[in-house]
Amino acid sequence: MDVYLPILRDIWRSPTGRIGLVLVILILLFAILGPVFSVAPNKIAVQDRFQGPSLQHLLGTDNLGRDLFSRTAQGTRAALAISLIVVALSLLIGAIIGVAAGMAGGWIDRGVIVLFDIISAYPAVILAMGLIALYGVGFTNLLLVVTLLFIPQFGRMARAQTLSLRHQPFIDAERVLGLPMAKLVWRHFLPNVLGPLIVLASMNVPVVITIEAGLSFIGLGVQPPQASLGSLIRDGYVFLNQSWWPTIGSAITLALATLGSTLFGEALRDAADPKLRGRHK
Amino acid sequence: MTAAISIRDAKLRFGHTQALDSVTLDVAPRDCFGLVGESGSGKTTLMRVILGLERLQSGSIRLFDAPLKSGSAGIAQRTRLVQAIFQDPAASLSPRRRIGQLLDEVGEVLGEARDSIRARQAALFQRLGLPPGTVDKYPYQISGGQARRVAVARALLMNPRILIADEPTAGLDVSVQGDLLNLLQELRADRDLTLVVVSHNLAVVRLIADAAAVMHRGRIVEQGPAAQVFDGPAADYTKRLLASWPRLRWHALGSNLE
Amino acid sequence: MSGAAISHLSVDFATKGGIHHAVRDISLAAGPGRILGLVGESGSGKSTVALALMGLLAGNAEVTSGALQLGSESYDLARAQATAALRGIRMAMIFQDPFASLNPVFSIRAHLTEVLSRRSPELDGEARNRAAMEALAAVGIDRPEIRLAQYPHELSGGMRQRVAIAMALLVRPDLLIADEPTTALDATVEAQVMQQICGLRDRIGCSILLITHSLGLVAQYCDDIAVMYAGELVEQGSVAAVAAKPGHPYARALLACEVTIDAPRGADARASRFRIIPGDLPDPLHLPSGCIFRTRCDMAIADCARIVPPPVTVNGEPGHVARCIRVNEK
Repeated sequence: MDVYLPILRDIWRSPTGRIGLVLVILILLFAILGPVFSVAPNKIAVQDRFQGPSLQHLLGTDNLGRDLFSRTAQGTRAALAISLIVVALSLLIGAIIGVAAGMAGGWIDRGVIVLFDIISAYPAVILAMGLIALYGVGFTNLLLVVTLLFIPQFGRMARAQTLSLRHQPFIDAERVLGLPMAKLVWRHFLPNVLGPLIVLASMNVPVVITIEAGLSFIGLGVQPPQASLGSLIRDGYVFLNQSWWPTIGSAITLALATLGSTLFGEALRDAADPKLRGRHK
Repeated sequence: MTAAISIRDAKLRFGHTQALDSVTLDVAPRDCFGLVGESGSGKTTLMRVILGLERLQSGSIRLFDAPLKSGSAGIAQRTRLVQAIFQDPAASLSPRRRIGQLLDEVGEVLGEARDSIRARQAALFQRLGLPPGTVDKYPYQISGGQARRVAVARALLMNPRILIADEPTAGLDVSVQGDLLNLLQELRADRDLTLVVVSHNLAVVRLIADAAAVMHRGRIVEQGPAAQVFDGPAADYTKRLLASWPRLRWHALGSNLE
Repeated sequence: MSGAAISHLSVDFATKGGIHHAVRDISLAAGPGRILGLVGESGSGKSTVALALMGLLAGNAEVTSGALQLGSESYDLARAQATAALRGIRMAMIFQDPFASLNPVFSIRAHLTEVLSRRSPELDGEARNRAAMEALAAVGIDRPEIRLAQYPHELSGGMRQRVAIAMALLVRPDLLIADEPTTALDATVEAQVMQQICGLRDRIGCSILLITHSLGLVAQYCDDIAVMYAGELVEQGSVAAVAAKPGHPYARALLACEVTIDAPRGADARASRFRIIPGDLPDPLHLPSGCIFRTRCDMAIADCARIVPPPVTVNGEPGHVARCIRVNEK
């Protein structure tokens, strides 16, 4: 803990980091507790359609009379779950591929780099649309496709870290000691590669949230009746001339979630960089 | 007599630079061998070749008459024969592991029981003047001088027959550099070690080495007993190198040796 | 020209643990055309002296007192930006790492003409170019017309340091500060660079403050020597006088630790043992009373803890002083 506490303290001391941290906690609480304290999100009550905010429906109701507070909470939960799973998976896979490529060198390394370049040559959302069109919509496919999009970022950084670590004196010292390669990688490469990757991961959470919302907006993401921030905005948008309430809650939540995680990620990046450590007194 | 290190016609090229050019060298057992030269002379590359960190493109290397594979295959083979203290000892300790964990790795490599390796480690710490609590610390929590001693302890735990010291005086003030040099001298006497000192510090190598080689642009330009290399050099480059070394004018103070 | 003198310089650093008095009451004088070697080990404060003179101290540092005398004028170093107007005109500096002090995106020509635009604004472009070329030739750089168009990364370390010397040459300062100018260089290059620095002194007759940890360098190239320990000046004098009889026990111990290239060599290298100074630097936040060196001194007596030693003339030699109360004891 003696390593992590100063990082948290630094985040708290930076004004934007503090806003980010508070927003992230609020959004997390909303996603976890929101559905618990509200009516069933998919319960249709057509007679109550297009209501404004009231004590019974804090964010009003949509075109089918569904409670928007619970639907927004459900959508937030989906957005957070998807972004955390995607980021964790792409970090793990990217780290393994990147470290392996960096250690192996030669044609394996070059092949991996070419593969990463091919994936990142396409605009992310277009590639995701194409792949989902090809393999079909659904939660699992959504996860897998977005994960694939993010692997190159993590892989590249893991590879670059590995390459610079390879020439560190402590790696030479461990090699001269005769430590087997597997232990060398596990004990002395991974812990030093992981730090920057975790920072990158936290910066990528908001990006994944917007990609998920974007795909759901055009109907390729989370499928109805399950709510998603993207599909809630789309539904609200369709009926904008009848009521503008349905778009408000989900749009603001999306904005706050991306803003919060961006600010938090940036503060984490600064706090994890020893050169910038202690800037905020 | 079998040479501790025997290198024949070693060649290694990095891109456009001939890092090692037909290097042939013998280090007698229990000698202190000084390898001197300026930056880019190839002395560090030669050290890395002996340690197995670089692969020779041609030529051979033998330690105590055993031919060695080069590159990482040869490391396991030579780890019990040769160990090193790197130039920046603090940077040679893996930053996210405790000192104790780093030293336990030696036991793992040697297949030695944990109790036995820890007993040897405690004895070495006492000998080197390191507080026993050092094992619970991370490398960034100890001083540069302590890191240097931990690096020495780790190398000695392997019970090597050859110890290489890379620039043992670099970055040290004159009032403390003697500490490590004297320690190396004592260890040499106690443990029958063959010592290789890689350094740009001619004055120090001149006093500590029995034999020496001068490297320049990947070649060994002069090699022989230290007295001959430093006090009666034959090669022009050696003469030039020695002439450029600053001289103190205060001999009245007498010897700087104790 | 009448040389440069620093009087009563003190510098504090604000640290987590409290105020660290890094430099305490240092007075130094470098006569015109003389090279003063300021030697000390890490933590002695010698580089802080240089940075304080140039006004380049870190944000947590404060010059609490001190004056710089250049010729007939005096500058109060405790004032912010006291020497800003002198930099590049009456003072110049050569740093340890010329790669860090030369701007990588500017050509050598740009570096040299930049100096001239500040020092000699009356010159036109053609004249500046010619002066830059002459300066490079003067520091022993061959084919200066080609070098002018090159960038710092295209030059070797020794060459970059020569460019820094050429820049100083164009400044024609009264005081040149060289902070460890050869530490990053090989011995053969070090000798060449030092010869160029001496050549610059001969050419423009400035005072040079050479900051170094190498006694060998001081012995070979300097006229005067000042020895710092833990933020204080402990001894000062001509190199010849200090070499003949160092007055302060620290200076004596330091000289004895220096390993010389022509030291007597025993028959058996195994028997070689090297001198050290036992003990550690005092904790900067809890300095000992009295003499700063007494905790490591083998001559310390009870009075050393009581008396802050004043500068005492050593051996009746004018200008050679040491801050030790036992200095002239037999």
